[in-house]
Amino acid sequence: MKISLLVSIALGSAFSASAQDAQTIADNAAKAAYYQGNDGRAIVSMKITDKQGRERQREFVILRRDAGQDLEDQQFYVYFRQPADVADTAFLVRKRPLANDDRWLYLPALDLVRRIAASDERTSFVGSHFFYEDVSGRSPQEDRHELLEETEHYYVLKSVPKQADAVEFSYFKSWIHKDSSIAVKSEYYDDNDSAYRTYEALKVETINGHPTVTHSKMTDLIRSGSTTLSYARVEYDAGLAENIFSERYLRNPPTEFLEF
Amino acid sequence: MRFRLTFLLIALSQCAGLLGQAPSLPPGLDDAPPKEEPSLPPGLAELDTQVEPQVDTNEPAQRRTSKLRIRTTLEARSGTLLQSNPYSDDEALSELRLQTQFSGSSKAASYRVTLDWIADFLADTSAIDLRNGQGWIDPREAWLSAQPLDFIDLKIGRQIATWGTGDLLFISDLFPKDWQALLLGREEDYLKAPSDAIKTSLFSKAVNLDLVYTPEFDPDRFVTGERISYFDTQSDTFAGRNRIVRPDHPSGGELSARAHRLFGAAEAAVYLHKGYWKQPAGSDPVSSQANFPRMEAVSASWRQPFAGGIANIEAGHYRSLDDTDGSNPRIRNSESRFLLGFERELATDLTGSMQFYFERIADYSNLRAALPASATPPKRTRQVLTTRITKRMLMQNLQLSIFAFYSPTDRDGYLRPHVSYSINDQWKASAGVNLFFGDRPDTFFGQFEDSSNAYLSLIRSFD
Repeated sequence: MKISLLVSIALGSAFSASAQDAQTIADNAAKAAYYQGNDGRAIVSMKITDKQGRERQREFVILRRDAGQDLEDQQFYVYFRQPADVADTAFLVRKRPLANDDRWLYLPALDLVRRIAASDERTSFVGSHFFYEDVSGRSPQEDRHELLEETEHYYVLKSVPKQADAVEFSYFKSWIHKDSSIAVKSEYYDDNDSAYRTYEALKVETINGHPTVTHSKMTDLIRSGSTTLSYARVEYDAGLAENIFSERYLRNPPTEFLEF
Repeated sequence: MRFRLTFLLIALSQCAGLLGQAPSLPPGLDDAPPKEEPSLPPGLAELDTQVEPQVDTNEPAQRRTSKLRIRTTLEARSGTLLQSNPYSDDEALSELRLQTQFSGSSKAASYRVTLDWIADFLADTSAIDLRNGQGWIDPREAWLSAQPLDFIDLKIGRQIATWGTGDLLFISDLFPKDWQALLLGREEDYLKAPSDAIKTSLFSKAVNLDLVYTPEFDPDRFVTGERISYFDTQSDTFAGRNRIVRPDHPSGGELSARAHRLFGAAEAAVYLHKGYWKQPAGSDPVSSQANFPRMEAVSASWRQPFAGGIANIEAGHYRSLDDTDGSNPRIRNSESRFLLGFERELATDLTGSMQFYFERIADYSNLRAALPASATPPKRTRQVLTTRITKRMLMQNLQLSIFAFYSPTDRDGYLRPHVSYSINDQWKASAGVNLFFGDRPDTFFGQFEDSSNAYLSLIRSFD
């Protein structure tokens, strides 16, 4: 009796092993992309290119703090430096992977702290080809992951949303570097199985021991525009206190942590 | 034929785009990888061979004092009335505005000075009026802020201050507003007028406190008749440039306070204000000169996520201190105000919001009893419904919005359609209309019916 129970547990776990692995791979990729260290900061330069080749630039400082364990709640503070019409605007996000995020925006000309109603995380972040979710991270719990293939360098995952009506893709495929867990490429597919959006990691630097994507690109394959992100002066465990992520510092930016 | 060729080319380029994903062979790999597999980006290929983790290759961290930052914006704005109005000029706006902003910070303190240099082609005089923002210069900000202790923030000088939860409707926010700017179609950034104040903020886990002391009362920049005509209830006629309101300013100051904190994702606040009505709410019994009677306010607000959006509620009571029992018809009565709002995203880059608001006269029977028999008594309650719809298009560079006020009690309203387009990172163009309507000339929006206007602007930013 005992033995048969053990056998069935063993069989059961063997049976679910590959699904489990795919989830672990996706979890590790999310940790590698968004949860390195207890906190982090960087100066981000964004270049948006439309299909006619016209360029727009954005520059912002991003501060991130993990409020709990890896893959749990996080806080983000984004402080815009460029272009001039959004300069000094600050953006605060309390990210909750399995619920709607809380977002606030501070408009300095009006000294106004606005609460942002946007619940859709798959809308463009400041007019770029990146979505909010690409910047702050999509929870690996929101998709079902399947290991399609294992190559010399990569795990190739197919991720299908659990809530299909909440997103614009029908699935995405990602190439996750085995050693670092970094997603080197992701392709988003529509209902007709055709790829319409691609993410690529163009450069990785090892910073404070953490391999970090410092140059990346999102391409719109349909309208043929793209946005590149360059992360400069990346720093982990900078000692960002919890109270920085509050209305106080929205109104009064924490210069100490923004100028580095 | 030509069309077909273009179609083919597009189809080809799309295919090429997809095929183009086939990466180059990663260095050192003999086997051909599956065609979609990306090559290793720089930094990952060497990861295995790297002996020591490479430390930040970026420039080293710098000093903590930032240099002086200067930002400049040049704006041209023109506006015209949509109908002729015997009490005002046909042109509503014709101005060039150069804004220069200087800012800097160190670990101990930061400062910002924002100056608007104005060429106003409609002004009678270029003499400086700091209170009304008229003349050739309008200093919008000149403040110094510091953190003398961990839990204290100080901000001293000319500053813009805002709190409360309403959208173009205000209960707790009794800081000066520039209604002229709003009604004439300046940028929404100009809705708030500056105050010369000392703001002290205290922070703790239990509650945060803000105290704003304005030594000299700053009224709203309200409708005086100079640009926008108004209905004069005392004479029961329209008035404009023939009767510009020049009120008597009180010599005292104002104190505003807020206690606020978060409860989970909900924001709660209570507010106190002691000062004056922000617009002329009284007149001298002898000279009939308009003035600002004393007023104190107590209010509270709550804002939290609700039904996939954000809901807010705010309520307050304004006590008219120079007419506490409401029996002086020359002074505005005490009143209660209430606001309920909801905003949510309706679709990608489309946001909608609604507000319900009312103000209710407190001592209505005393007011009625005190009015002369010939006078038409005001309605006790004024209700307002608002809606704002904002759509962003073309990579968020084009923004279309409409804000609508409608009062079912006054049967009047105000529509604000607006379009703005970021041509590039330096240039922005916008246009809009301020459309007022109403059944009667003496209601809040109805009196501005003949001041309905349209405007255009072009803004250039320099870094």
